[in-house]
Amino acid sequence: MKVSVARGELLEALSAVSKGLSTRTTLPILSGIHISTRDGSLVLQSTDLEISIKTKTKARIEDAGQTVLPGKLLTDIVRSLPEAAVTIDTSSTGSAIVTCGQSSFTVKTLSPEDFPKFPVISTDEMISLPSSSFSKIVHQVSKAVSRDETRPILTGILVVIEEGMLRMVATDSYRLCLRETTIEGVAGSLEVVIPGRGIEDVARLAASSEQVSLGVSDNQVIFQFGETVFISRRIEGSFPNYRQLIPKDHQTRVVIDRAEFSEAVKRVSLLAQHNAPLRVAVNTADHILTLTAQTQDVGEAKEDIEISPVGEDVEIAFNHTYLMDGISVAEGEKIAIEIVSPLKPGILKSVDNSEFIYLLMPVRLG
Amino acid sequence: MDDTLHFAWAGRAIMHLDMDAFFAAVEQLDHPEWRGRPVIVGGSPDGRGVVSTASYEARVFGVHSAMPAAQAARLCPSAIWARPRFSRYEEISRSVRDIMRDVTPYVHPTSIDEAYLDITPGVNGVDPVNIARRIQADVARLGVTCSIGLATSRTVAKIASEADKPRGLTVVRPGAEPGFLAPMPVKALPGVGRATEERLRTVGVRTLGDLAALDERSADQLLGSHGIDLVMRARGIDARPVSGGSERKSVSAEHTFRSDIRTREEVEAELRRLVERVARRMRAHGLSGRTFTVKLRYADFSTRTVSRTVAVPADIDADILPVAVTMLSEVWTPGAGLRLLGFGVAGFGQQTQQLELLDESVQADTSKPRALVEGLDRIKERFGDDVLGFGVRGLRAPIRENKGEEDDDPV
Repeated sequence: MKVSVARGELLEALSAVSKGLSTRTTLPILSGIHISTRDGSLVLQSTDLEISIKTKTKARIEDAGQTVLPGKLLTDIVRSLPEAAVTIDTSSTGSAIVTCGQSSFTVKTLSPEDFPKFPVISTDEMISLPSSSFSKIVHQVSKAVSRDETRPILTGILVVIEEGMLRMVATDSYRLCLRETTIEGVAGSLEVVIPGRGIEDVARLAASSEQVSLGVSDNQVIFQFGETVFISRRIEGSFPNYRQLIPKDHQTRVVIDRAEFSEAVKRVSLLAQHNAPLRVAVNTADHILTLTAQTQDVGEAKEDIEISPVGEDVEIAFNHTYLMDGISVAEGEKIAIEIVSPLKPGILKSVDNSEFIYLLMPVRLG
Repeated sequence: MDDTLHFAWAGRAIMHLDMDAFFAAVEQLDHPEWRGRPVIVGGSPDGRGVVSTASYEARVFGVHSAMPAAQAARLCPSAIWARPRFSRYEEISRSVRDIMRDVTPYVHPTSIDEAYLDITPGVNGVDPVNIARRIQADVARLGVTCSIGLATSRTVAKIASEADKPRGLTVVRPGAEPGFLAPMPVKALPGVGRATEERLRTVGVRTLGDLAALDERSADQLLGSHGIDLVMRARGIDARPVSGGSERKSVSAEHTFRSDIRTREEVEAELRRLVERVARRMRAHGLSGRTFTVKLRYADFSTRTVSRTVAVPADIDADILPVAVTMLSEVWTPGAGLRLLGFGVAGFGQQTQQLELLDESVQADTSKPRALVEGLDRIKERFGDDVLGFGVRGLRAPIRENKGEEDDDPV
């Protein structure tokens, strides 16, 4: 195989498939990127057996063929090269020569016969979404994805498309984030739980494309955007019934400037070390929301924020990181905080957008 | 006496624990060849010292505490004399206090070998008699014994602990105080010395029953304000609380081994026991801490401690043990003999709990460690420490050894 490709385009393709490289040392072939030629293009593939990525870039093909090159090394080499044509030549057995301008690298290849076949999945339909909305929503709800592998279902994002509506939900059992939006011209419906890591990668990679389409099979989910196909396993099992977790009403509602609240929480949290909780007290008579934090043997912090509360006085405590996560992904200049009671979940909502809900369980004080 | 059915314990339950011939018992523990023989701890028989403690074998000859050593030597020529080793007695005393503090923070030691405990049952409380039995058994496992009095007040508990020594457990149930106290000589009452006894005798008061019947005016005339207090206590009325339970700075436990332990299995198994014990005590007091300390003493008596502070306060064995094992490996190499191992936690923070949204069916996995240890806590609370534990590779030799001897001992 002998091919030439523009350095920028090659790097873009390598960056995309790099997300699928395995770090497992037991299967060295999975640390490689499979490169082959087809119809005037270079096809790059990677897989860690959970995620499989395939992408394509235009190339000048002198000799057709295929090879597997160490993925991270090849990406590092190409990233370091100047902006010029990169040639990959595998005419000598067992190694590839990568040249660009005056630079030349000889890199040992892996056997393409050992590389897993790219999965072929059959889907009834592919649903197309504007990738900007898709990526933004993934970014919002992914804050609440669990990293705890002992509860696999919570390590995913529930994606529901129905009646022209896209909804995503994630929860790690301490907080829950739900985001819903209508998308014009969307036909079809699906409901699937997609591993958080995979869908976050797709959101990042697809951001430069107009559209991202997705489809599901029995145990996999497929994304297509630009020249890239991204296949991930889907998570089996039933997602928690999130609707019944969302309180129907509240005792106290506070509307607050999001930026101001965010800054205050950041400041006061400096004294909420070692998991110490952040206390939020609402004084309706004085129109004051007070944030306090205290760390044993370190000190304490307090800040008052003027607010326009509705309802009753309340005091509740949260993990400050969880609270900050919610504030950072909420939309709009103003957010609403709704509280039922000190031991029930608190809710952050966008005032101008009822389709964002961030539910947060409080911390019980001893 | 307690095999009959009783109604639940009404009112306070105060326990007095008194070690049996403590110093002598420790010497017999450390010198197995002295067991069953008269042992006197104190000054030398040919000197001018006094007897500090005499073993029960020596007491048979009439030897008692505070007796001049020379006199004791005449009474019991075959006695083995031991110089007191207070640091060793302190060590055992601390272990006994650990056992008591496993049960309640309300432990008030009045000397190296005596303490009062408030073990008043809560709403669904465990029968204090069972707690007393358990403490007695746990102490016996250390290789020394104690006598316990259990009653509704300090005075009665103290008298009860003296009533059946050694290894006695005397329970004076609520309401039974007058019947228990009445036949006792007045000198059985703490605070009645020889002078008071003499003065009471002049008015014909010889028993606590007589004293209880004394009217307050006569008591006041005879003995001053102290007299009224004595009368009240002779009636079983004594509201003095058991102090203790002050704010804790640390929770720790340590164990001295009969023979040095040196294999990784043995040492880690002991460390696990200590961690379990400390964690359980923290949970009992609603504490969680960030600073862990592992203490060890090598066979040559050199002592090392290592401390580490973790980010998040912990009170569950599973969160503490891996850190403790790592700390151990920093100061100990398998093969090096250890005579003592200790573990402690300090740096208590506010006990907080992040609540969860999801029901048990989904969240069960993370709550398991806590549910498990809390379940174990309840079982141990009820049936004793040794009924249940984690499967531990390695030996629990020091304990089994003690236990075996306890069982074999003709009581």
